[in-house]
Amino acid sequence: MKTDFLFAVFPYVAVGLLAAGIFVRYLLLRKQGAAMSAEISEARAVFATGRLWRVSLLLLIAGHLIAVVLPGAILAWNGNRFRLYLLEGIAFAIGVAALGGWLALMWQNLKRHGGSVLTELSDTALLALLFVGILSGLLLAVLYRWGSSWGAMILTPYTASLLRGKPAANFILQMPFLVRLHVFSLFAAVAIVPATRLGTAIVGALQAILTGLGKPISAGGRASEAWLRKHNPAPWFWPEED
Amino acid sequence: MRIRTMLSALMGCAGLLLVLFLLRPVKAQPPAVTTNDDDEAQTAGPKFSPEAAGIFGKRCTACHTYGKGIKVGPDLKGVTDRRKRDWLLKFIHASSSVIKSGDPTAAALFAEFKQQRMPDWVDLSDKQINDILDYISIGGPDIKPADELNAASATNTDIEKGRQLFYGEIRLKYGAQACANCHNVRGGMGGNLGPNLNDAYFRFQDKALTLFLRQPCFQWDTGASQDIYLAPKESFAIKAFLRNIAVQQRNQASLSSGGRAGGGSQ
Repeated sequence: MKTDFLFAVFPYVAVGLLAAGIFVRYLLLRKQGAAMSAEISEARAVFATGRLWRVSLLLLIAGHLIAVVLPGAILAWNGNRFRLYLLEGIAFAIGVAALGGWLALMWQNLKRHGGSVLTELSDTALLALLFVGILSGLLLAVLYRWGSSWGAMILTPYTASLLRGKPAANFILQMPFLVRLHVFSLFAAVAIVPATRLGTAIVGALQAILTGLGKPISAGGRASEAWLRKHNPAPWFWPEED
Repeated sequence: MRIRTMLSALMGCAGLLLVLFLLRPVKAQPPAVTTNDDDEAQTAGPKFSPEAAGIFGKRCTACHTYGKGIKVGPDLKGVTDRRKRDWLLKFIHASSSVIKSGDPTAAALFAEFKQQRMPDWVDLSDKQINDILDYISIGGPDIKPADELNAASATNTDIEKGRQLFYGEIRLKYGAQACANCHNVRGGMGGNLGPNLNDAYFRFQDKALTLFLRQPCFQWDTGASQDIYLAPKESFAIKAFLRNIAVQQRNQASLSSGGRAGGGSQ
């Protein structure tokens, strides 16, 4: 029952916490440009130091997203043994690189002087969850090989069931502990993000997107206002008023 | 500022991928490898239809036997040789009107079988009736599905085909994934998420393995999907491959234990 909760309900709780947390932080931070900029640069120092870490993490995220979005393509690719070995080898190498990047990042963080206890705690918890995710991913690649194939067959339908709002937790419940740990660490990381400095960075990114979207909208609004002023039909309807 | 740009790009990509995911077709495209087309190949002449076998079992066997004599109506073995196809089609669709029309064969049957009239199967299409007649003509209930054949009767070709299906070198007809994604056998490089299948054949024995292979081996779909998992010939070939592996393993084990016993006695 507990495990059922972890994989059927908790994913929604995690996403809810992320959305609510980011929204609250957006409301709190949107007018504090300087404070936000300072916190974003701190977030960069805590979470994004080192090219190896950044690149390997982005590649891991992209790989997982591709497996979720295009499982058929992954399975087709893996239909050939050589290509399967190639994909698994590259994915494992990226995982090892991410672990190395994480260790380097932690080494940097150990030398850094922190901010508030709460922020430091939540940042540390997120980094720990990332470590659990990476390590469990590497271990399951070794212990339960061809994860790219069975992941596309098992984890993708599970993710799809979550997106459809009908969570099929039995996909995960029948999996070994390491797989469940790997999946759970992702949801736990998602839930904790708003409490970390990374949350501030997301707020900043969100603000940048909204500002970016706002520019063409306001430009369009100005252009249409000018057009209306130029082609104002009022004198045509009520010429006596001129 | 770089982290903000990076996160914006990441969020944009994630959004794009989410849109792609939501727009993708529900069923994944099957892998682009050789198709297992020889199973149930389109050949001239009557062919087995599982649907026809089902209808025969549900509707015909209440009153008819196949090769076991008269029940309520006549024995249907050889009926496709005794009667013309057109006549059978008409009679199965609407026996009452054929009898009323004064057809001598229908009238004789009506008299012979104590004026018991067969129901008018108006809901069956001509194709369904033709499939049932084909099913009767090729052996009816006497036909054994290909997967029920004992794996001991498999040829080397069957075993090789089973190996190819197991490792995904030939695509499974109904889109199921190759066993080697999760399972391994001796001398192979299959996955190890699922159990090793070296001795699966002897553990389950032929009949239980046949029944097992009719269901997806991993019960993901609690929604009781009605889809066919493996084609009967595929199931037989995989069974044959697993039997071959189990026999090899047993032979090797007996050889090595014989060798050890021989070594000990020296």
